[in-house]
Amino acid sequence: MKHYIFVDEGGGHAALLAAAMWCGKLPCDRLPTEDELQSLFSRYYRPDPPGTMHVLMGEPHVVCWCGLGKSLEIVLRAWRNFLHLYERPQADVMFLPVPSLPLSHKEWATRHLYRMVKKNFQRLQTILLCFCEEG
Amino acid sequence: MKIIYHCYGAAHSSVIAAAIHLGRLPQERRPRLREILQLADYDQTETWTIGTLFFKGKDHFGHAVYTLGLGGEKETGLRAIQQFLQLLSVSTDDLFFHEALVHINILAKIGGALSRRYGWVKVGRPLSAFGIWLQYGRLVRFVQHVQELERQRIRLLSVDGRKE
Repeated sequence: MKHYIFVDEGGGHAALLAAAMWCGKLPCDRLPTEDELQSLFSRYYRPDPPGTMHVLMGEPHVVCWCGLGKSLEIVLRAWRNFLHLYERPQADVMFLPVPSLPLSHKEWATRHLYRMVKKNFQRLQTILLCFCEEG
Repeated sequence: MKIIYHCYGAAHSSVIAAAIHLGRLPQERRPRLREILQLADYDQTETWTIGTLFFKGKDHFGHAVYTLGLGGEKETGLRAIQQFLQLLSVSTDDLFFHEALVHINILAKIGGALSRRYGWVKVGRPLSAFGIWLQYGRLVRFVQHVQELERQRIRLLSVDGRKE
């Protein structure tokens, strides 16, 4: 089973957004409404410490999101190395880094989030499109 | 069983711990500074290799020993690795992480940073080796503790094996 792991350098907000767009829990072709965003975040977002993996969808592929803070590059490299250590095919897991939203922990539930999503939506769309093209 | 010594950049403390574990550095005496500096992998990694798992060899029990750099946020790194392996349903029962960074002094840390981060190898490398040399006994005790844990795990595994 293929694993898609969305990661960002923050608390995981952007990773969750991109993962939700990827698996159809948010629209990809238009800006989501504030209600859609609030519902997504209240349902799926957990302010766990960085490095905590969250599964958004289990079938037919596993889609996860994870905020990695400043360790993003290091962790991605380590994940690849551990895949090799346990002789798992590298192609089984796709790591999808997305740029983080400049949010503090307190801001995620406020209107600030919507403003940030609006500002970054096109960027996320473009990145998702690139991921689709890469396979 | 896989034993992973981790520190900031896998250049100094974890390399020395792995070398002691594998018998490349002595446990019964303090080595000469030259012996530390002559280790092939001492003070060699680059910033872009942080996060890479380095295989160092097999110990006398036949267990693989690795070093790993996790940067400044080791908790994030460890959590991410463990949760990633769980996600893939990989059993982590044979995986043991031991932090080596806390067993070296400030001199070794400053020397390491000067050499690896700022490129002042001529100053940083001997300074870090000197810092490690000063507190070598502490690193030996740490490795001996790891080896004792390793022996305990082997005993537990053999007891479990007999029960089955």
